[in-house]
Amino acid sequence: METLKQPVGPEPVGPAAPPAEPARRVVAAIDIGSSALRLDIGEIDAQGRVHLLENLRHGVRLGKDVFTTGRIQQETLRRCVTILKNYSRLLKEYGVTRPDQLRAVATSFAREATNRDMFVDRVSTATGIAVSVLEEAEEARLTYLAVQDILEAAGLLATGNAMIMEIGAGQTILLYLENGRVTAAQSFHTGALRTHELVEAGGAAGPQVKRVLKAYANELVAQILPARPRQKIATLVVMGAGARYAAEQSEGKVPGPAPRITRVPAAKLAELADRLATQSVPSLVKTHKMTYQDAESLAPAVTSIAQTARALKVRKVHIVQATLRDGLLREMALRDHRSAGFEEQVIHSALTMAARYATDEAHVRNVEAAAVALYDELREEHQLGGHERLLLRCAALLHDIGLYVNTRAHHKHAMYLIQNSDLFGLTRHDMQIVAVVSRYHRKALPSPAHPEFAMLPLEDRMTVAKLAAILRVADSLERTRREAPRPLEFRREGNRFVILVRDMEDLTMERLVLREKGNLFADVFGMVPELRELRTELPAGGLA
Amino acid sequence: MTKTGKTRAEAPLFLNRELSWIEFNFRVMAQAEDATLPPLERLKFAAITASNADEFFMVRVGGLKLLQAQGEEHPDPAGLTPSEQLADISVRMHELVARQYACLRKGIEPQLRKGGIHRLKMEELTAAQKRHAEALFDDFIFPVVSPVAVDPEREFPLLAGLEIALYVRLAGEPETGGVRHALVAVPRGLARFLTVPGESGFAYVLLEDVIRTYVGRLFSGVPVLECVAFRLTRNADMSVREDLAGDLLAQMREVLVERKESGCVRLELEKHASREARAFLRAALQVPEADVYAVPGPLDLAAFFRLASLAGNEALKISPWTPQPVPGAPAAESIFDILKRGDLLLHHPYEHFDPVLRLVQEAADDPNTLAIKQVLYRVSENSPVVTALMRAAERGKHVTALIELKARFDEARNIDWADALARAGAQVIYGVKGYKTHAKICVVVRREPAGVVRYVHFGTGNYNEKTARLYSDISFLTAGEDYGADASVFFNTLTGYSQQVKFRKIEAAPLGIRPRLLELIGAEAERSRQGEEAAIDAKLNSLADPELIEALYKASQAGVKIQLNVRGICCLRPGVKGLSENIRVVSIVDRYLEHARLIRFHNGGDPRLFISSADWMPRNLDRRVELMVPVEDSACAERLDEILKTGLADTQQAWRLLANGTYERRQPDSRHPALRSQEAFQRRAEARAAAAQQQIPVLEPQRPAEQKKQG
Repeated sequence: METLKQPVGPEPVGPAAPPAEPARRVVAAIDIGSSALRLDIGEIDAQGRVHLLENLRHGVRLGKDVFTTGRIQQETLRRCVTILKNYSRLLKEYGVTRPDQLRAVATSFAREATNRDMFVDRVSTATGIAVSVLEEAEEARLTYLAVQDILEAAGLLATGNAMIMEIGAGQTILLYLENGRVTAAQSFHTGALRTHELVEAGGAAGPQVKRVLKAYANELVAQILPARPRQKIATLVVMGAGARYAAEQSEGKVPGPAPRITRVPAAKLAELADRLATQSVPSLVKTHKMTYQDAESLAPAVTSIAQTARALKVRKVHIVQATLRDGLLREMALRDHRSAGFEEQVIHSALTMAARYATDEAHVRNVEAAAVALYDELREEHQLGGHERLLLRCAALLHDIGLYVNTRAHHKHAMYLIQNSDLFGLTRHDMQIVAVVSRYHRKALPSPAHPEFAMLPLEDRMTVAKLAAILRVADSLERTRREAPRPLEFRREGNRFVILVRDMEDLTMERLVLREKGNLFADVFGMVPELRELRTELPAGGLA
Repeated sequence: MTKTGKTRAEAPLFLNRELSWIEFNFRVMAQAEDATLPPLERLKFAAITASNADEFFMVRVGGLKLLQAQGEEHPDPAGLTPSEQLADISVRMHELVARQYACLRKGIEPQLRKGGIHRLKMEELTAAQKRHAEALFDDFIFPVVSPVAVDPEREFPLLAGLEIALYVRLAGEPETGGVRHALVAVPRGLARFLTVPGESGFAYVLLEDVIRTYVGRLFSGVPVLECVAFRLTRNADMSVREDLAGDLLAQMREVLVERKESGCVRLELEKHASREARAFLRAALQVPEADVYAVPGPLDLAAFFRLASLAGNEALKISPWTPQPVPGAPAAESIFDILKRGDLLLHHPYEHFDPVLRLVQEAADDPNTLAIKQVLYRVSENSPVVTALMRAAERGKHVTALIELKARFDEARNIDWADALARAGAQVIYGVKGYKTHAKICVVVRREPAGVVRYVHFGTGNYNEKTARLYSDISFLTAGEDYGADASVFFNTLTGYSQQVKFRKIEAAPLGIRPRLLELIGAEAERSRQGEEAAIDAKLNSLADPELIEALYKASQAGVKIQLNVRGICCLRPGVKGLSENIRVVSIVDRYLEHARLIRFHNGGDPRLFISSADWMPRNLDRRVELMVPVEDSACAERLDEILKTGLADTQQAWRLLANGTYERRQPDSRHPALRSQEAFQRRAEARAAAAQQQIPVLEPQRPAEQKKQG
């Protein structure tokens, strides 16, 4: 992390620690999911690779509770607490005791449960495991982290468009990739277990089930189709329990670890979907020794995959053995091995979004570069970290999208457009900050009279003010269209913050804009920004 | 059932499991009858048949009697109803008992007397010996025996199963002219074999004989008409009703109490008993005539195992085979380093159990150990394994011990260990609800510079150093990552931390072993049908599972060559045309009890070998937690293969199962040279240890050149 004050090195060794700190770090991820609680314990090696040590699961009916009654039932809660207590015992065995070694998340059921806060609190108090409820966007990002290296190794990311589809119990996540980069992420409130509950409630039986399942799957497809990129999707990658089952059925059950990626013909999936729709849940439970919830989810999941493949006209589906926990563990591995790749992913999807609103890419790129230069220079003053830097970059890239709606009050248009979009890798909260920073890139200063600013917590309001101050200055530097960003140098002279712009003849226009926009900077940083041309002069005495 | 041949229609497809078990005991009896063996070795085998019979009556006969009492008369796979089985059992058991006593009195005891071990009858005692015996009675026995008067109208006093008691018939009260009956339980706390001073050798009298001689002193003056020793066996099949109560431990304690009170399934008594005595006891204990075993004495031959094991008397024992050090596991090296080099396969007791103990002991003392997890089934007293686990727990390691309280007849000891371990801070689990945990596995989780490494021991035998010296078993030790991951999955399932997730290599009952075996047997059959060479070799203790037997029949019919080495029960009928003509079954009974379960599938020339804790019986595959572990390391797999082949080639201690269910002793011939497999294993272990010994480099100190010159 960039806020680290001390040089990066081995972690400090306490007096009780064994003499040689192992090169590998043990970390763990708990996924409190709609149909099961799962724990993965893994080791991160010196290269940042994750080696799985333990893999536990326990079926629970969290999704069933929430998707039918809206609440988590007491009985289910008690069961979760028991399971998590056992998990915490095993975690102690592996010395997973520090908060940075464990990430515990709850997914779609928790986002919807009316008593989610009570659930999180009870679980955390009773087990000592701090649970956080994952936002949809974050789940999408973790999903991508989970599959990224598998897909890269399989050569599926290199060229063309790809769609990653994760069918969970309560939701479906979609990621669109273009030449290996995420261009968009979406999530839908359609999941396998949820669909099963709907079919059940609808009272469909016998041959009807197949028709109803297809109808639900097509509803999902209808939502997907308009959002997908114009180019044909060449690769469909599918994840989730139903997908894994389909892979197993297609490969035949072989002992040993399942292959990480399996190619299954779409036609075969359609057959399997039809077969599952007519098979009774008890018979699935019996033949495959699976839980009822897992069995119930199979037909809806496989039907959705088959219908999606049909709609996208792909002949083969790539089923990947990866889970949310893989993403969580990978993220912990990346904590020490910062992924430039991931940040670029976010920037790429911001650029994709900017392009959708016909933004002048060269301009926003230049603003971004200037903002980053200022941000890095002012590290002592703003005391913000790498994540805020990323938010600033996104705001810089998106600040002009409001022009697509109207040149008048375009900063306000930008705000609501951003507020209502998903940017791959950023949470809802992140998007809120990006939106408000963009809103303040011109005109009015942040004010408690603006509801979008007032509703932010104090800490976020400070962040917004600092980032907006920088963005305004950066934007004022870019009044003329140019190919490449200007190289900038900075100098602090008393209460003046001097920005030296190399090789510019005349910065009058910029100075005028800065006078208007630099006020926030002066307020926030206590220094008045000033522009100065840095001209290359002939050295005294000529060229000889 | 389709009739494919004449021979097949004649007999049922399966042999009866109870009669097959009795057959095994006849084979053990043949060892006791082998006059070429030293007498104490013979006595040991006789005692084993008696001990086996005790358990058989308690459990199997007891179970059949319960079925009979409930009116269950469904035939077993061999076509016999419980009543028919009980009738056949009674006939065969009476034959076995007759052989036991004939062998003891006419074969073993004369040989023992020649060697200086005398069982003396009271009337044979010298005056000095008699004085000694009397003093023993007065000082030690009299204070602890208490006679109980009994009569047909009163409730019969509670007598513990398998304990010897004396029935005493007393002259009646003069005024009524009736007869009085009394019982004297032979106290458990006293030695059964009482040494009397003798000029040479070892002379002893039996405790019950001493009591009998002075029994009159317990009845102050009332004349004793008769005194008969007897022993009853109670039904032990009190299945623990796990679904009813929460606290398993409390239930098991109840079972121990209950066992004392349950119905009598066998009455053994001395042959000289009068008709009145016999009738009285039969009526009081409600024992039908078929369940009465009148023996010439002494009762409880199983107790003679202790006598056979007494220290000294080496001339009367077989010369022991010393367990050999394992060349791949030098004592000076850490077991962790050894296993990091490669997998280790041990053949006990030809090879030391030591490396297995070292795994637990080194782990207990090693600061890098994170956790030790182990299943304990039958643990010996003073078990070093348990001691090491306690030490580890006290040192703050995470110790998880699954102690199977349902291990038959070892409950009392296991409950003690469970308490002791829990006090030391270990996490103790009393088995899995509804299943008996029979798997033999231990995993040590260790933090190492290169990451967490799991060391696993899989065995076919229990962690019991005592039985490890009597049973032949296989240990497989490995640091392989997949095995370690599977071991974790297995323990997470046992401890209830997780529902079972997929294993990478191993299989576990009750979910996985049966389907996997069926699949592997089916695959061999399919290869054979496609014209490939196909073969299955297996070594088991018992083969009684109808589904697997039928799969083997089908494989035989497909042309798969099947060789089975089944020590005990075998319900498969081999060599029947159209059914099983490609199946051959042998059974080895020798010095060590054959106990390892090994399986080999030819797999088109790329053999797959497994070791397992499970016998092929419904109880093992469906109602127990068992493991089946592939051995893939090529050196280890080759050794397993060799062990299997050597057993199947035995021509000296092997018996061949015939289609009619009887066994015939194998003889060497021109095609099958003389081979005693257990001896061959011992010689090989010795040779390997010796070869390794020679390879140890002799350390030569290098001295400075000057010193050499001067010296």
